[in-house]
Amino acid sequence: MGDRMIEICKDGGYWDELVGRSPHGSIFHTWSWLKIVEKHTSSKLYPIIGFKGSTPIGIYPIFLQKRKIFRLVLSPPSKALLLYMGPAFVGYDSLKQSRRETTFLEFQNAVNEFIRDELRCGYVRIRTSPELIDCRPLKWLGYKVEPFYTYIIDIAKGVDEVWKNLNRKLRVGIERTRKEGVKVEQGDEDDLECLRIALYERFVKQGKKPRKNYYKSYLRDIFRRFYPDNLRVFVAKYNGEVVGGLVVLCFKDWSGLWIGIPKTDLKGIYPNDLAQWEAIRWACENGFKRYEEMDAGHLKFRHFKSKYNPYVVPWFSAEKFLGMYKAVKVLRGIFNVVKGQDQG
Amino acid sequence: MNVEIVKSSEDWDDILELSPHTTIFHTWSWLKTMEKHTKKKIMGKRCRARLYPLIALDGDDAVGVFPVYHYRGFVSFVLSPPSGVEDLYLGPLILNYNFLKQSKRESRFFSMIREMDAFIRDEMNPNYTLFHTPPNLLDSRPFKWLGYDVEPRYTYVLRLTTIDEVWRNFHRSLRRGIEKARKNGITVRVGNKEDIEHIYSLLRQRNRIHTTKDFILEIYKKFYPKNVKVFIAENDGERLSGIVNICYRDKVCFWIGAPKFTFKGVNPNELVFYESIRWAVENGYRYYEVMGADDFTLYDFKRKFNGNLTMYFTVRRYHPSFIKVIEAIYRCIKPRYG
Repeated sequence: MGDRMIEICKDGGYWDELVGRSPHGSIFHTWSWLKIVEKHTSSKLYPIIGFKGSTPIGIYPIFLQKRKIFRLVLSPPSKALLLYMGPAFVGYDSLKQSRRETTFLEFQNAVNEFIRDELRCGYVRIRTSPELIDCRPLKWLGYKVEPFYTYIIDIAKGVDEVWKNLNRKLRVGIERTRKEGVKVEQGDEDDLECLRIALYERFVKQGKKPRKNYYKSYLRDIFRRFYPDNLRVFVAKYNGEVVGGLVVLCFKDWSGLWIGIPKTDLKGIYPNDLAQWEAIRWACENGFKRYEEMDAGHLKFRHFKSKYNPYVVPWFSAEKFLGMYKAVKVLRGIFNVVKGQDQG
Repeated sequence: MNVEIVKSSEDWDDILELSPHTTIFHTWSWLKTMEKHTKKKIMGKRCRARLYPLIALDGDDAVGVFPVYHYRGFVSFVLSPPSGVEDLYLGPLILNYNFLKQSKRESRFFSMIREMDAFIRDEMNPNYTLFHTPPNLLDSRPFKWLGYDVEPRYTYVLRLTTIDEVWRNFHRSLRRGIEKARKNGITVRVGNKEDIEHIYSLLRQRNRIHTTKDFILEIYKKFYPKNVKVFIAENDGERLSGIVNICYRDKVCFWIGAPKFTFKGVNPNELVFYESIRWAVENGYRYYEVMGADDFTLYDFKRKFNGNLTMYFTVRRYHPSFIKVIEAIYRCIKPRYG
């Protein structure tokens, strides 16, 4: 490791400055978001900064969770409506490829040692940001890596170009929905609550068992901290009733669909398509360069999202079992086979 | 969508023109040469493979192709690329991929892989399926949705502009190594069949090649001089080390060679690479691939070229799936990496 070291950060301002200087630094990496996640996921946040000499090379937020006898390290933690987090390297784009690799490898190695020796954890799961295409340092350090996907729309060319590139059926559907009198407007905390309840009811209908106050306080805290600079709510109303909507996040030149109302049962009109289009238009007009439709991994939602003609971008989920926890991995494999998750 | 087996080389090679991901390994002649030379040890017995050059048709229109190799022994394997022919990737090709909108692109890709998968199961019923997809085909979801395990893999690709810029981008230690090799009187020339034999024997001694000399020489016979180029380092007429490159479309690929070699304390391989890159620039190629960026033991050498990372995927499935549990236990004892 030489003169490199890692430190637990205590200064939120400094942390956010590093997030701003990294191409992988997302809104989910910001100090406030991490602290809200920590509060609502019964976990302990370790905001790690890596240094080479006195120069910071990157940040690595990890969360320690204790579940019964198990000690897990997650980035991001589960049940926080987050896809990815992981490390964010400072000034990555200006480094030569060989320097990028050694920086990642050495930083990951130091974080691994911290997880093993200080946190004494048996299971680590890191989900890296879509901008980070190299996952080899994780593989070389014993992680099993699986690719996942998200959709990104290039909106830098302006709203007309984005509209032209949409699937023809989608354009027709949006026009028809507008003509039928569906109106999209920006919402407030009450509208967010409406979206949350709609999501909750959809899960109940599907026979799932969401928690009673499904993300209520978490979403409220996120809204109060990030609205209106980094969070907007778009709701589609039909005859005064909310029939569709979504929550859009924005950070640096990025904007993206975070959560949205599931498909409505109205025939012939598509309030969610219209709401998403209005969100994209808003993002274009406000100077954002990219719009992300988060999560392209579901076969079921593929048709809704791919109609906007995005491109697919991979991100990685890396997991590692240590010591006796490897037995859990084998048991999980057996369970999956018995349950028939593998079609093999 | 229908899946058929292509019978003639003309039909096949014409179609390849329509995919942006085509590699030389997909061409009919290379596929047939691999079929002739590939062998896989299954339960102690060496099995030959049968090539299935599959094509997906939507009505009369070709949607994509997928060459796969079937090995039938005590258990059945389906591989693409085949085993023991020094091929890193092969896999499916989707035609006109870059011209399609995303919704069309992914529905075609998914339908094609679903039909191909059903064909492979019906015709070959493999116990183990392993594919390495071609570089730059970034979407592996069709395989994931069909229950395959997918793992990201990488290769290094240098963008060739001018030789001066390539030189500036090299790692400092690589530049020093090249200059030192020159000072020690090492020169590089374009090689021939005897030089390939020399490179092969060096690789064999170091156990860094896993194919037969006959295969390499047959490839040389069929693809030289248009697609295969040999570069050999020598000193006063004495052969040292060398590499065999493949030229296809706008890219030159380092294929085999560069065995560990020391001459007067200098590694001649660095100079061989530099001269072959210079040749690629002078002959108008746009990319140079230093194949394979996953092997940690070679990482320290390959990273010095500062190539861009390009992704491809390893896709595998076991049948019946309890074999996967046995594999998981085995991997706990002997991890694949690290």
